[in-house]
Amino acid sequence: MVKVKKILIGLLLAFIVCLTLNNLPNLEAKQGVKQTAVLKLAGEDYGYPSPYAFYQRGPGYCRMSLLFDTLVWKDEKGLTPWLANKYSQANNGKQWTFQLNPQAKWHDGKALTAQDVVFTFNYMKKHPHSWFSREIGAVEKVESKGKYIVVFHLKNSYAPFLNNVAASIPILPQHIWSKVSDPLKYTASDSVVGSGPFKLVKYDKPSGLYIYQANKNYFKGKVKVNKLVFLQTGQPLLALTKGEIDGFEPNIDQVKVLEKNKKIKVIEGSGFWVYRLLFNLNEQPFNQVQFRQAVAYALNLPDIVNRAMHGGASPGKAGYISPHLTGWYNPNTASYPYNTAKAKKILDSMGYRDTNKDGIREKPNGQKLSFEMVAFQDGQEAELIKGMLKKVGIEVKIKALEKSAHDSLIANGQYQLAINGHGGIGGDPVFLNQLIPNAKSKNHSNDMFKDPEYMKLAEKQVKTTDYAQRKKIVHRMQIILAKEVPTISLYYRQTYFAYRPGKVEGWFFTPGGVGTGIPTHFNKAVFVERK
Amino acid sequence: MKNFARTKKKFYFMSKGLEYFFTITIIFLLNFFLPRLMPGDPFAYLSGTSVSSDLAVTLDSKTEALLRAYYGIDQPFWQQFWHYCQNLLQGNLGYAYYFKAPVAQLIAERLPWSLLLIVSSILLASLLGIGAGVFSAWKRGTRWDKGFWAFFLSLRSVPTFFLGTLILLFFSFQLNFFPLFGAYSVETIASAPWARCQDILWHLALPVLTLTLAEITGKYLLTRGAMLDTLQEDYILFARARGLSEKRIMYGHALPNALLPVVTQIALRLGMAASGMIYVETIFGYPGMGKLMQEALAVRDFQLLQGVFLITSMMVLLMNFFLDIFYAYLDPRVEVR
Repeated sequence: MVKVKKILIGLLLAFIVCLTLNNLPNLEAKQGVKQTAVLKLAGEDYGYPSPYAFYQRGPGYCRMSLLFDTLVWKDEKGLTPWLANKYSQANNGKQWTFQLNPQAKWHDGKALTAQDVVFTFNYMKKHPHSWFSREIGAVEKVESKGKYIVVFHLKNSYAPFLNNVAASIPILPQHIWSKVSDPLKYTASDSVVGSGPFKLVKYDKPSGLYIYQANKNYFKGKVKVNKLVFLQTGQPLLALTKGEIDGFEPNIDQVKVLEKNKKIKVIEGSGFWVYRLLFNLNEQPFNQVQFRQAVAYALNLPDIVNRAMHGGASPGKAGYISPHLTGWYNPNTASYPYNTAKAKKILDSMGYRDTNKDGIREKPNGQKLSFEMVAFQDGQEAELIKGMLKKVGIEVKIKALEKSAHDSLIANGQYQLAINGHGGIGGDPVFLNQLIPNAKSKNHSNDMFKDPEYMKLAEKQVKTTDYAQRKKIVHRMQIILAKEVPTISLYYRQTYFAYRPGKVEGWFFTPGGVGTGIPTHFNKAVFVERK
Repeated sequence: MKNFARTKKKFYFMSKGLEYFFTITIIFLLNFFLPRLMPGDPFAYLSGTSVSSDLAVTLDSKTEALLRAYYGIDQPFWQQFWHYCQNLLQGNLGYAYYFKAPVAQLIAERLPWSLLLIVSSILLASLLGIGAGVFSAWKRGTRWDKGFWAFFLSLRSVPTFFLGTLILLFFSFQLNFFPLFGAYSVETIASAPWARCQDILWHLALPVLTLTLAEITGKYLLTRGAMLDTLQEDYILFARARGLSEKRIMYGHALPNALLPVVTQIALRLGMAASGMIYVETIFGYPGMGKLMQEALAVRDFQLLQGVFLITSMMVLLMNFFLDIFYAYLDPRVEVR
């Protein structure tokens, strides 16, 4: 008994000592504030941040963009000159001239010249890059006129040129990459020598660690953060609350927790990410527009947003483009507010009636109106849709699949109904053309939208460089989509960034997204005191 | 007679050798073909062109063909298999499509973290579990036994991820005793080896605690059961009759015999160490093989998957091999004559 008492007292003492130790001032942290500013953000591994080795994901591109610059960039207002001071177009958008900023230097001190730009585009033509090659295909020839002037000659007028080429493709240093024959595997230390606001100090793949150091000679202005660190945290919410990191991207449930914390600020932006219902347009009855409209009426989108996304999204629009893409969104299209009576009426008029009174309608040939729906394993959307369609007499059998299997079935058109979620609906509205088959791409299956007028407009919008004219076309495309309902946008996901104010201010969500349309608060412009 | 024994021994080793050879061949084939039989296209993820990707990029068919050829995923399976065999014979595990790094490097970067975490947890869990198991068996039927039994069973019924989260919340978030995440802190990257070592151990504490608690019940139950069985053997009764002390009976006679199934379980578990521990890695943001394998599967990085599977299966086989040898020492009945 005495022994047990001794042990208990010992444990208690140890506990108290630990508590006291814990209360000692954190000297290291105090010294840290006096020294250089360090900004720690939560993140994962998105690959080595060289232009060829980053993982083809939004954050991978952003990590790379800290080291490499583009001719044009986007800030809180939209497109803004970056490596190029000035730019202009001629010949109906078939020729673009960029005047480079002579102050721009590579990290190793060498001057960034027009030759580097010419080299980059020739090099990328020779060495395919899955994100950049398609865009580079629009460029016929790039030539330098003097040390700082570059002229792009395009094959045809290409409206997304500024956004998808000039503001997306990183410029490479010729003196380094001209010696590299296998860029996809090139990860030597000079592969991250760029012209950007930061230099890479350390990258550790297994722990998702990136340490960037400010480029003191950055041509755009002083870099506000001396050291920028990305860390993989298991529990970023706890880490932010405790002050071990300075920011992370919370989901909507975490946002609700953080909103109560006065020391933390949360900003919100459009995810340019859509969750949508796909019809296999090659099959009966999905090839009938009335049927698709009936389904649209049967779906209660605000309810899906509330229940599946806890409010962290906005209901889908029939014209596919999200209202957040302000320059292109058309509010005046057909819409399908939740109305089961209307849905039922349409189905009745099509001859789909519940003849045997089992709650499920039958086709005129007696077959049940029952379909298989490919869905993801997680999320409640599929169950909600199933319930909503059941109310109007359509039976849905959910085929929940792991992501890769799901993607593969959809890519090959092997489905009747499917739910899919993807990004890429920010930036240039050229993404509207992804709904139709593309002759140049393998990636088109029989389930795609083939409205002749829409296909013509799709071709036309790419060639129309005049904004007002193009806007008209894009608006018309939305009207067609809303009328024909080839797909139903269920919701557009919102995205959030939570941070501790005081270290870096001025965070913003880039209008239309960074690069070709990456929805993010993470824009290198935040870190630069722009002149 | 001597010749006969030698031939028998030779035959034993040959048959064991053949057994291992067939196992390795089957594993090798499964590792290559099994991932490829799943639906899903590795190109969709390495290029960011999957239908559910971040940017929903579409590629022109020319670029796609060039890139597919570059990664060798345009070739038929048998050709890919042939390349895989050729590479493997040269000690090359291949190049991971999505992770854009040599497979051997990806594994080498993470395996030490997984081994550090799992081996230390299993050894700790084994020591404590065996100790508690012997004690429980010794005190069978008493309050101590019942208390231990109830404690370990309750521990087992708590899911690892929940247990880990609780431990993290309490010891790290509330009490601030241990770091919240990672295997080391950024500040100590350039410090002296000893400081670095301390930092790594400091970060290891909670993950090891979680995994130890998750593993301990198995060891405890197995030891207790095996001890109770052994204690009923005649030779224990005989030892008692000889007037040997309880301690000597326990540790000298019962434990070595009861240890066989426990050692088997520990060795097999150690063999699986290379597959990592995904829950613990996720909760504590700890690098390791578990998350790597999960990600490789999600993005259909076949090269990496087959590399990870190969290393894991080789480790399991290696542990089996050691067990085969170890048994001969531990259990006279298995001895080869």
